[in-house]
Amino acid sequence: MKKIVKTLCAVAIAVSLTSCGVIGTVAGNGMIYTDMTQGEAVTGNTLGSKVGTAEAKNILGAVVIGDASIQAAAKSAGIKKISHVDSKKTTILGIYTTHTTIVYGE
Amino acid sequence: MRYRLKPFLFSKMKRALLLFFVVFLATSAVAKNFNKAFLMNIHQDGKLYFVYETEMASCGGKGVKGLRYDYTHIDSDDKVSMLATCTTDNPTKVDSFFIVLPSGERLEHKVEIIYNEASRKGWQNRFRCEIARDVWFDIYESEQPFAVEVHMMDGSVITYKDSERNWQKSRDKMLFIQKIIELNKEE
Repeated sequence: MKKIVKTLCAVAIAVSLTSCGVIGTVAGNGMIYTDMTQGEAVTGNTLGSKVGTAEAKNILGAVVIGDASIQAAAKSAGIKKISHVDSKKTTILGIYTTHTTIVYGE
Repeated sequence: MRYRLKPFLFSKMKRALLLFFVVFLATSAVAKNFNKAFLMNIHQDGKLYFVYETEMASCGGKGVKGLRYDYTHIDSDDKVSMLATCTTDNPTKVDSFFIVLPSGERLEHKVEIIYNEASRKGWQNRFRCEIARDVWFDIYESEQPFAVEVHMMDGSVITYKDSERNWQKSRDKMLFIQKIIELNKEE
């Protein structure tokens, strides 16, 4: 009985942690594995030749660090005129999640 | 009978779960999916390629941060833009950038400073330099890793170089990407 209770508690904790680390996408939430790129924003400027990225990370649904802002991504490549913005999202079992903002411009 | 079934079922469940994780991790580790290492976009001047940021270890031992760098290239252009972040303990500025070939030849490249800022990791120097397309292809053709020297305004020099193991992974990835670039180049 004790073993069953312990196992159920462990499963409940694991499930709650995976939910915290899961990242939402336009195609839904991938509870086990996510690796997708999606569009975020577009302007009237033509596609630039510079690309900048900025990343934020989520560890175990408990620690979230980084700067994935459009500002940080544009700054990383010295982009002054943005043409469009994409984002790349990855998660493995909700344990380790990353969100990368990708900015194109001049 | 019921009492004997319980431990049997639990152990079978544990084995099934363990097998699932092992297969999942093994397939992720073994499959060399370099498609995720870069982006390709249609650009008015050809095709725009971006190789996601990676890190080259410092030769300065433990405690000295590695060089984080990425590449951007338009296939109609004869140069590749390398954006890199060099982290130092003291506030300073990047002066020049050298690629040191395995033969010992040193190729100097002018740098364009993007920004300098303080962070919890140290003083971050973000800069851009343009590498000739032919040089960029040649440095990954060699089986030996190339080194990189970043010369600072205060006179200090930081050298970076991939370990043999990292060089193999990095080289395989870059050769794959360069092959894609060659195949997609318009005549």
